[in-house]
Amino acid sequence: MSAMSHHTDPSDGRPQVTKLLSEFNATVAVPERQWASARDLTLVLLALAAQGAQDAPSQAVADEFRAAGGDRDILVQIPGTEVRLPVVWAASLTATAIQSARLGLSKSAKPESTGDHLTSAVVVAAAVVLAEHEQRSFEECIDGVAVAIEIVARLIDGLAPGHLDRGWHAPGTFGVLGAASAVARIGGADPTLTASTFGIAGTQAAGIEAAAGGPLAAIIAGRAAANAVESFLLARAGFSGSLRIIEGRRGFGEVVGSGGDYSRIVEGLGTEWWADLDVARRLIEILGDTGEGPGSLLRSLAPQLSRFAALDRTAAASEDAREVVAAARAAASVG
Amino acid sequence: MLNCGTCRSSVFRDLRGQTIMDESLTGRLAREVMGIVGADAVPDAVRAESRRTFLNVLGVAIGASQEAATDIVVAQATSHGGDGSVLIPGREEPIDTLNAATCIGFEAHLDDYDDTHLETVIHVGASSLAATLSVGQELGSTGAEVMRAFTLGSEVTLRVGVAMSPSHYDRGWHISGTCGVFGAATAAAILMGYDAEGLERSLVVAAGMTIGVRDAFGTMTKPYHPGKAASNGVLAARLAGRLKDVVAPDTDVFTGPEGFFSVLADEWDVARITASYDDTWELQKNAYKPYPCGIVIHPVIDAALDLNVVVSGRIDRIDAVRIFCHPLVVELTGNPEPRDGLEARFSAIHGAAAGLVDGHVGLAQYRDDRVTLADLVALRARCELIVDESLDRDAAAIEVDVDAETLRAVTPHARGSLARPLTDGELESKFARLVEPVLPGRTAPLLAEVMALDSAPSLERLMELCRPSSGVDGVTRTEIA
Repeated sequence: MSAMSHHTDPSDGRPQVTKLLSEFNATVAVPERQWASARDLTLVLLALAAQGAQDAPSQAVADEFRAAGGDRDILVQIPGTEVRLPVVWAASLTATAIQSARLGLSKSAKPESTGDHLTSAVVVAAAVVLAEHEQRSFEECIDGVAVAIEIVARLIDGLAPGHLDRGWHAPGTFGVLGAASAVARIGGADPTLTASTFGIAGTQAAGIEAAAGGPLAAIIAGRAAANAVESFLLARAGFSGSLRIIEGRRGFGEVVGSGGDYSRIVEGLGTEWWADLDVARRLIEILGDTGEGPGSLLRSLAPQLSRFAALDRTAAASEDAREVVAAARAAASVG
Repeated sequence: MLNCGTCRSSVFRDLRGQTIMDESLTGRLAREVMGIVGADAVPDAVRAESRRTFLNVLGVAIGASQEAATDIVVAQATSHGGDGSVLIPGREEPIDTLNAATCIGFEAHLDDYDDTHLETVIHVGASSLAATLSVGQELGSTGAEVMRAFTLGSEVTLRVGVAMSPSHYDRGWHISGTCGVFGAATAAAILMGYDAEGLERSLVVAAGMTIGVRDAFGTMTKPYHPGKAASNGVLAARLAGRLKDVVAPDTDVFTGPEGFFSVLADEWDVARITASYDDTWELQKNAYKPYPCGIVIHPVIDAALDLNVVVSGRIDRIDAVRIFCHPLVVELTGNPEPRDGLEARFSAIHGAAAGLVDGHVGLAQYRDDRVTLADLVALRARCELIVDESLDRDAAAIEVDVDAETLRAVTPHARGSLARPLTDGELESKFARLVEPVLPGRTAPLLAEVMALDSAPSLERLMELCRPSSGVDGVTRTEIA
C-alpha cells in the first residue's frame, strides 16, 4: 500500500479513502504487536461486558429483544437467565453491556484518557459476535479488532476535531465504521464487499451528545454495533450502498462533521500503524491493577478469560472464537 | 426567527393559556401532540389528507413488494430477526415488529414513487406507514388509533424538518431518514398509550438514532433510510418505556449547543415546530408523485410527455434535446448515463428521454432492462441539462431539434405539485396500477378498507388483503390466477 496520491477521484480530487481503506481492511497483514494489543483490549472489554450486563440499559435492551423472540443464532448470557438472540441484536446487547460498564469507569477517569473516544466497545462487541456467528478462530477475531481500531484511529486523526466539536458522540459515528471494518474483515470480505459494508454502515452514523447522557450512551453504542453487523450481512446478500461513503461530497466526512484532511487518513496506510497500543494498559490501570498485565487483572475480574491473555497468534488460531465468548458469558453469569 | 445559538427552554403557554416556565422544546412538542391525542382533535381536513397519504404510500409499498431489493431486506429480517406475526404489504412472511418496520419503510420508498413535502423534500409516508403498521399489528390497535398515530407521527416528522430547512438538507442529510425517526417514535408512543412524558422520553432516545446521508442516493441504501428511521423510532419508544426510571424527561434534544439542530443544521427556526395546530398542519402540504423518480425531475417529464405527442415516430431523427431546469435538478439528478433503475431515478435526462420515447413514465421505464436499452441510451446522449435560474422548482422547459425545426414545451407547474395536486381519482388510479400486478383483484376491497379504516376494529382485514395468498376476499391468489 503506497503511492496513495495516485488514488484520487477525478470528480473532486480527493483521495479514494473508502476504496483504500477497504483494500487495507481486506488484505493487510496485522503486525504481531498490534495483534497482541488488540487481544488485550478485547479481553478487558469482554470482562467489562460481564459487569455491564447487569446495568439498566443492558437489561432494557435484553428485555426488549427477548420479548421480540428469535430463538436462533447467538446465545447471550444474562445474569440469572439465558436467551438466544439473533446475531444483530446480540451485537447490540454486547456493546451496550461493555459501554455501560466502561462509562461507569469514567466517573473516576475521563474516557478520553483512553485515547480511542470510547469506540472500541462498539468494535469489540461487533467483532466477537460476528466471529461467533461465522465460526471464526480467536486469532481471526482479534485480527479484525486490530484492523478496525487502526482504521478508527486514522478516521479520527483525519476528521476530528471538526467532527467531535460539532457535537457528535464518537461511538455512534466513528464506532459504526470501526465495527463495520471489524466484521467485514472477520467475515472474509473482499475490498468491494468491504466498501459496500462501509457504505451501508456509514450512512447510519448517529448519536448526538445531547442524546448521549447517562444510560443513553450505552444504547447508542449498542445500536452502532448492531447496525455494523446488519450492514455486513446485507452487503454480503447483494445490497448496495455508497462506495465513497467516507470522502463523498454528501458522505460521512462532509455531512456527519465538518470535512477534514482526507489525505491524512490514508497517509502511510499499510506501512505505518497509528492506533494507540496503550488503550488496554490504561484501562487496566483504571481498573486498579498493579501493572502486571491483563492476565492478572482478568484473574480477579473474569477468571474464565484469563487463559486467553496468554495466547499468541499461533495458539489463538486453533481456538474457536466461540470459546472466548462463552468464557465471557460464564463470567457474566457469575457476576 | 432564526437561531444559531442556544435556546434550551422558554416560556410557553399550555392549552388553557396558563404559563409554563422553562419547558423544553421537546417537552412542549410532546405535550401538544398528546393533547391532540387526548382530545381526539385532528381536524377533518387533515384526516382527509392523511388518508390520501396513507393510501398512496400503501400502494407504493405493495408495488415494490416483489422487487429483488425487497427480497434481500425481507430475507435479512427472516434469517436474522426475531419471531413475530407482523405482515408487510404484498408479502407472506410474518416478521418481528422492529424488522417489519424496516421492511415496510424500505418497500414504501424503494421506487421513489411515494410522496414529497415540497418545502423539506421529506418523503413522510414511508416511515409513518412502517411504524404504524408494524406496531399497530402487534398491539391490535384499531384503525382509528392507527390513523391518528400515522397523522401525528407524520406531522412531527414534518415539523422537525421545516424547522431546519433548507440548511439541513443542503448540508447533505437525507431528511426523510433523519426526521423520520422522530415521527416514528411519536407514532409508536401514541399506539403504546404513552403520556406526554413517555413521548418526550421517546424523542430523547430517538435523537440518538437519526440516520441518512445523501451520498447513498442511487443505491439500495436510500430507501433503507426511511425503513431504519421507522425501526429506530419504534425501538426508541420501546426502550424509553423500559428506561423510564433512568432517562430524564426534561432533556431538550433539539436545541442547545450539542442538540439535534445545532449538530445537524446550520440554521433553524424553532417557531416552525411550535406553530399553532389551529392553523398549521404540514401534512396538508404533502404532494404525491405521479412518476417514480426524484421529484425535481417531474416537470421535465411533464414537458417530455407533452412533446411525445409530436415527436413520436421521429425519435431517431432528433438532433438535440435541451432541458431547461431549476439548479437543483442538475445538483440532485444530473447523472447523464444511468446504469440501472436506481441510478435512473436520479437522472433528469433519463426521465426526459423516457417521456419522449415511451409517452408514459411509470415503473416500467425504471426497470434495469429498460434503462439500458439502445433507444434510450442513444437519445440520452443527445440530451443536455441547462440551468435556468428564473425557473421555479416545479417548472421546466424542453426544446427538441427534429427535422430542421425546434419544438418547445413548457411546464409551469409539475403534475403532483401543490399548484397542481393529484386528484383523488388520479391517486386511486395510481393505486390500482401499483396493486393489480401484485394483488390481482384486490384494488377495490383495499380502497374500501382504507377509506373506512377509521372504523375498523383492527388492521387484520387490511393486512390480510395485502397478503398475496390470503383468502380474505373469498379467493386465493392462486385461484385468481
